[in-house]
Amino acid sequence: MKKIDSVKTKAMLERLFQQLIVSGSAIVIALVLGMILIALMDINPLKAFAALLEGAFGSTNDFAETLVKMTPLLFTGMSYALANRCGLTNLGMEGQMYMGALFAAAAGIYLENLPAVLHIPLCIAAGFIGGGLWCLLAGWLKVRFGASEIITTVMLNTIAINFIEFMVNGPMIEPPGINCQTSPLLATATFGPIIPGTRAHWGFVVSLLFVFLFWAFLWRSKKGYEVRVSGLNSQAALYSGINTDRNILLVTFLAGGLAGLAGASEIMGVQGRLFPLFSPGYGFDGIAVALIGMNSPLGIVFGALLFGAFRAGGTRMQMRAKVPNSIVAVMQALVIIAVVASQMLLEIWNEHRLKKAAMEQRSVAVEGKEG
Amino acid sequence: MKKVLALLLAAILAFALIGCASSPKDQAGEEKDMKVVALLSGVITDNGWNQICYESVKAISEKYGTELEYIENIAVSDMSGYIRMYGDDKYDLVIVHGSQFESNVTELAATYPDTMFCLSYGFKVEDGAEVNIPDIPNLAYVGPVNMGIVIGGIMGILTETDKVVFLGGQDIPAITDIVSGIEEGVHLTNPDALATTDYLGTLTDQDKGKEIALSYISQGYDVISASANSAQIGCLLAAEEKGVYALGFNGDQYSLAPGAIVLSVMRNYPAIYVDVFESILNGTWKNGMVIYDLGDNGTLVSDWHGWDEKLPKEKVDAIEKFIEDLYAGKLGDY
Amino acid sequence: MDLVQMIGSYLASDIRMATPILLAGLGLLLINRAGLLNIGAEGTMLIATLVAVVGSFYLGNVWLGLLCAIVSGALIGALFALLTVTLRANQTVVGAAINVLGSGLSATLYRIIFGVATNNAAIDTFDVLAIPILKDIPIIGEAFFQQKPIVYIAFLLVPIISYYLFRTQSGLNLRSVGENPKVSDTLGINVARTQYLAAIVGSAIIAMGGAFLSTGLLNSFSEEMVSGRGYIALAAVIFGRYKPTGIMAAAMIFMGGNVLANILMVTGSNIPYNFLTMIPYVLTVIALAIFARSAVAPAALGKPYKRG
Repeated sequence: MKKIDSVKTKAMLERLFQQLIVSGSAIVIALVLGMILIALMDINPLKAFAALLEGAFGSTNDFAETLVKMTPLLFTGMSYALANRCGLTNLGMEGQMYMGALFAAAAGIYLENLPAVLHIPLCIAAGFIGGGLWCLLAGWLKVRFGASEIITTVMLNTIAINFIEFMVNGPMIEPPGINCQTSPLLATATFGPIIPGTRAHWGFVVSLLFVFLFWAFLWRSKKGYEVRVSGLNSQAALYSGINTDRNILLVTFLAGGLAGLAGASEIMGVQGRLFPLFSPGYGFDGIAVALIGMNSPLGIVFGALLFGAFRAGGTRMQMRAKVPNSIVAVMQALVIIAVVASQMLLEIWNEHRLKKAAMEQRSVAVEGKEG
Repeated sequence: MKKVLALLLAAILAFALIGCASSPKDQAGEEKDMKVVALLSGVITDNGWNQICYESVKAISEKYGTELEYIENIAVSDMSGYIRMYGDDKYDLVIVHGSQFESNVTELAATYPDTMFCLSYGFKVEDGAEVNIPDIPNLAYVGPVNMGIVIGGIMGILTETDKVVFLGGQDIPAITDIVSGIEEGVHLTNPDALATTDYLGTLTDQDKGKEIALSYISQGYDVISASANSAQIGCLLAAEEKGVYALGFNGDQYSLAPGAIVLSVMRNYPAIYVDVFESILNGTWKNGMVIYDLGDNGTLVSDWHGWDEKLPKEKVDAIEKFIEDLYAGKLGDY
Repeated sequence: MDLVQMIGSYLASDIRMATPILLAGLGLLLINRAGLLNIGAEGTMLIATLVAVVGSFYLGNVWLGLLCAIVSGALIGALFALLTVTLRANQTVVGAAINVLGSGLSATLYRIIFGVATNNAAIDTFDVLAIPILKDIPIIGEAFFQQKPIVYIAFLLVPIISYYLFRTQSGLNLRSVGENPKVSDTLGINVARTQYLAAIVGSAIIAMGGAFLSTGLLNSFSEEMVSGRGYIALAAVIFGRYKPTGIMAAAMIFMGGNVLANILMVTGSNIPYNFLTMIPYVLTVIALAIFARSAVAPAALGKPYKRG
């Protein structure tokens, strides 16, 4: 029995290792394709690539920028992954992020005279609730009416973004109403820097804490087990008495909450107040982060680091090598396509190998009997 | 597989070499040491706000041989990162193009005293008083004002039905500043006219702009103008299609709808930023609010492009007189 | 302006605006019916808007521009099928990647080709093709018989695709692949081939929607000009209960929301413009909620099919 266990672990590790190599090479291929495109634009690709690396890891400040960008990506990546684990597709992280930011900003601006130890958790909770409720709406529409969450979440994005624009331009505008932005959050509601002199803030630590909670929920709680089962096979879940509807509602709330925290941490750590259109697309990047991380906690950390570095480095690439912003989008798309293709290629290859191994094993077994 | 890989590598190397070979070109223009960059919220091909800023840094680079540098599509949450980078690099002038970035700049400008920061707008003139301008030595709030008066006045003269409309893209200061002047301008030349202003709710959706403009035209509005980047092109096309007058805005937009665009009112940012750049060169930099009134050439009116032949004589004369009087300050303090 | 004329012109406006959604919806329908879930319509359309303009600019003829756009759509469809059918990749993720790709690629190529010019290059565009006699019918004359050629094509595609899906063997095969690929396979239908064809033809039709936007309704390309139409088309397919006629109705109802928003704005209501912008999206969500249950999605929609 023990032997089988160790064989299993070995197989799993081997698989993980394979995955790492394959994903890694996929990313390299995507980057190479991107560099070719850059060369076609008459820009030196080596210079561009050097700038990409320098911008992401060149100095403490650069690495801090990577961490700044990693923070919301961790949240949105977890958001997509959690929903995906339950068999749902949440494309509304962008909108949920805005709602989270709105709630956190409201809590951060209007709840006065609180000590930071109370105010910060309150703002985080508000952000979680804001994003959570917005996604729960999509979950409820699915459970109650059978409306596909893939589409409702997308529609809710536009609605949320317009709603925030209205709020910031109207009821929540900073007096006397010159620029469309809210008043700054009270000092007790903001994250200070972790590395002094940089923009990296304590929200990053909070996001790592939530990665742990994410893991604990899915793999150490009964509810999380149910969620995963119903994600793998909703029919089987139904037969074993798991209430899938209730799980959908729970998961949409939690997933939306995580995306909401992406907005809250941006407001509390980076901007200090709410603006319309503040996000450079962290919500959509969450899909890629979860994909690269294969919906697992460590994988998401890796994926967020990759895309955070990509964003921070992309900034520098624009600055030093004059690579237009649109190329960065193309490269991101190429990374997603390459990673997803490579993951599937690996799976198909492994299937072939397993089949072959099974056949060999059978023949070995037959030989053993004969000997 | 290996062959393919080898080929691919060869291709990359070839590209890299081409890239290297062409790089000496970059070093040719390095007589001046001045470094200027424009930080933009959108793309330089947006037919509007960001494109005009691109034209500005281009004008500086053409006149003074600085490298043409700009960054596009910066979200508010990323702006501080850019300001720090260019501050650390000791750029001479950083143009932050958009009032939504005001708090990013005011927070950081003092940290980089060697760099001059220009924020496009970010101010509001209320009853002649300056509001909300912090005193930071290396930060200026720069922008032309009273464009809305010019546009409104011309629209007031052009209209036959006494109904004119101006459509903004979104309710943001760079646009609101114009929208708020329209009614006043229209009533300078045509006190009876109905001057309507509204917002499209988009800066990118051309077709939405077109349909909304068509709706206004069907309600009897016969002069249209807009400030909504690409979406504003749709408004101009609607005017062309229905044969009503339109005014171009930001740049000279005549060729987009030659059958409709009588004149274009141009935000003269290129001249403004060349001016600001020169003020750094010769040490006359001024911080705080740097307003370009009509008399300061902050706003230009385009050529007629032959419309002076097509329009009734009295309208042409009236418009020319209006512009002359307005710029001369005869119609009020603009 | 009298009421009859006004209703007529609003109806015409509705049909114009509905056309890109209708084309994208019909393309998506073919893809969905074959069991593939493609959320990449937005990106496909964006690339097509650019390609149509480029084609019309270089070849001097808007129809050739349309052809180029159709080819570009077909290529994207082939890429989608390669990833999702052959490699069985997650369809939603691939679709999302196509959207990002479309946004970035169209912007990049536009700049490589046209540079940064203040004024757009003049191109050949579609003209209104008025149908004699019929065009003078009150109310519906302007709406149905004074439109650009692609509008007619789009609305003609409705019965054609209906006939194909529900009256031909090939259409039946396509639907059965979407319902149950395994059974189809055992019946001798080539599942992969069917799905490839559906993805390619469907994406080509989606691309027509993009081309109409840039060379029919307007006359140039600008970044992000599709502005969410690809997503509305997704909803139109569900709201239209996976039927061509239903999609036609859905597209017109959704864009009717836009017309309503325009009327509200023009008549001077004091609703903040942000809420007017939301109208079509809110309408879409409500419509989905009401009609989702009765819309019977293809049973195997979004599930990769593994042979053997």
